Amino acid sequence: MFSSKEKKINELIETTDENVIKIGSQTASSIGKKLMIFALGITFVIVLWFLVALWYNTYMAVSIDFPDPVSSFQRLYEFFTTNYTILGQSIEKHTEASLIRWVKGFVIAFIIGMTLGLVLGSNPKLYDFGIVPVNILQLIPGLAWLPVTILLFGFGEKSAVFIIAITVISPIAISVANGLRRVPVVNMRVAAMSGRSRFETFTEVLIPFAALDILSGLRIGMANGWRMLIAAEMVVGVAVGLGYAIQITTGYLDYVSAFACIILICIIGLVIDNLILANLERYARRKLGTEDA
Amino acid sequence: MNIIDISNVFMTYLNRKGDEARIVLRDVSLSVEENEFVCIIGPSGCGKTTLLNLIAGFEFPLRGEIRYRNEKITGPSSNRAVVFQEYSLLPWINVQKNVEFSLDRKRFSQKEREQIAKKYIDMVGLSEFADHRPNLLSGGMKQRVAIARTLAMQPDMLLMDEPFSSLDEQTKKHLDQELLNIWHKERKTVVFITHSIDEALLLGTRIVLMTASPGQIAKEWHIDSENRDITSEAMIKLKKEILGELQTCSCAARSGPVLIQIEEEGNGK
Repeated sequence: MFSSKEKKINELIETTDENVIKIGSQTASSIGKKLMIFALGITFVIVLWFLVALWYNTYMAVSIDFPDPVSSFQRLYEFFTTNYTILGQSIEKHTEASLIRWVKGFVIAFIIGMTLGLVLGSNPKLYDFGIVPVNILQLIPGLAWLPVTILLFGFGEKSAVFIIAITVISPIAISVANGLRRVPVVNMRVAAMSGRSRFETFTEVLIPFAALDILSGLRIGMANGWRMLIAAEMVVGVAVGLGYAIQITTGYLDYVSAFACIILICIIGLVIDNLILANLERYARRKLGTEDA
Repeated sequence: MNIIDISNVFMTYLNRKGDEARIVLRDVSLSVEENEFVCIIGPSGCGKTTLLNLIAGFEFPLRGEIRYRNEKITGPSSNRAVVFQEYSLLPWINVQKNVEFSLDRKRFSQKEREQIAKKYIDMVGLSEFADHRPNLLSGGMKQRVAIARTLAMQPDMLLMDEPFSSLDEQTKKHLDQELLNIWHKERKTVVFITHSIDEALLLGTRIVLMTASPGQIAKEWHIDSENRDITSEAMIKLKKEILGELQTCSCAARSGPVLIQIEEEGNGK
């Protein structure tokens, strides 16, 4: 089977005498196709959810129904259109608080993780020693930092940020360091013999070669951080945030609202990962020539 | 005048565990004169690449000394430019930019760099592909870009480490011929590593044979490059001679036990 692009080339090949066929940029139909496949995947998840809810409510339910997609999405809609509040805070406030916390934690982790990764990746002798604490850091699950963070920062905002930062540092540091270490020796030698300075070699050879690893580290870090944030909000005693909202609504047996919050978390995650990070990575891949442009 | 003087060089590599040091070069001495085209041949693993890396300044000898124009080599320099065996282009920039990459930004303006790069891309016959990225080029084209990049540096000498060994026979012959033309035009000193005797006979003004590990220089031949005819009787005779020498020095190597093992397997059946 031919793609739409191949079909077009096949048509044009008959009429052209040139060696290069101009086909223009990606056609609208192929973007539409990708979107449709994406929508199909989402529909699958929702149908599955619907069936589970149906099964539970028919055979298992005692007093409280398992929220189905319809009521959950309806509640989500109410969150934004009416002045529905969860413990006195609107959903916008909860979302905003979570996002700000996440960005704070991520920025701190980005600075520390990047620095660590760059230092360890460009210094083989230091790497063997320095990667040990980074690996240990990675082995400790985020919520296991609870005693540490409570001791250091007490309950509240700072502790949530700390837990996010500490879980995001290691994936960033590890992928940056590994990316730098994978740069082929031969390209470093070319730079050395053509008299490129250390700085030029760093910016023009090392960083581009490591860019994809760095980006995937950031992507993993962001996703980890987002997941960690929701969990952290449930335990470190913040008074606002999506994780907190889920915990509170569950406590009040308002499962529909809890489910609506979960949907919102998914949507935010999907938007950030699929729309922003995946495209950034695709752009980098194209730019770096690892994919035919 | 000698451009390179290698005197009594020893070189070893540690194995993975770090408990054994394999001698790769044992007491190697070699001088390269200006405008020579020296082809170094020898069985694989005999230290040819190591020798080239030492001349380039990527590695340093354990013992002995290497001098470039009577000065001790302390690191890589644009005077001794290398064309590597493996592909060495930067994948994210096009051919033009790859060639420009090797040019000193303090010495040349952006415009000059563009012009120099163009000239050498033209010389290797790739003008049409100047704005292509390396991933769209064939292996032979990539190596031609690498040669253009190296020539653009205007090096004093060219060090080539089996630059065409990964290419098919036809492309290889074509590029050998191109290299020869460029050498006639630019008259650079070249040290060329190959495992192909034919290639050495076609290109070199001198052929140096190294023994299998630990590498030592076994024999040298001078070739009259001006009236070279590789199909002439004298050349075929020379080829036979080199082939014979290559066989004797390969068998004397440490690969001996491996050969015996193969024989035993054969007898067992």
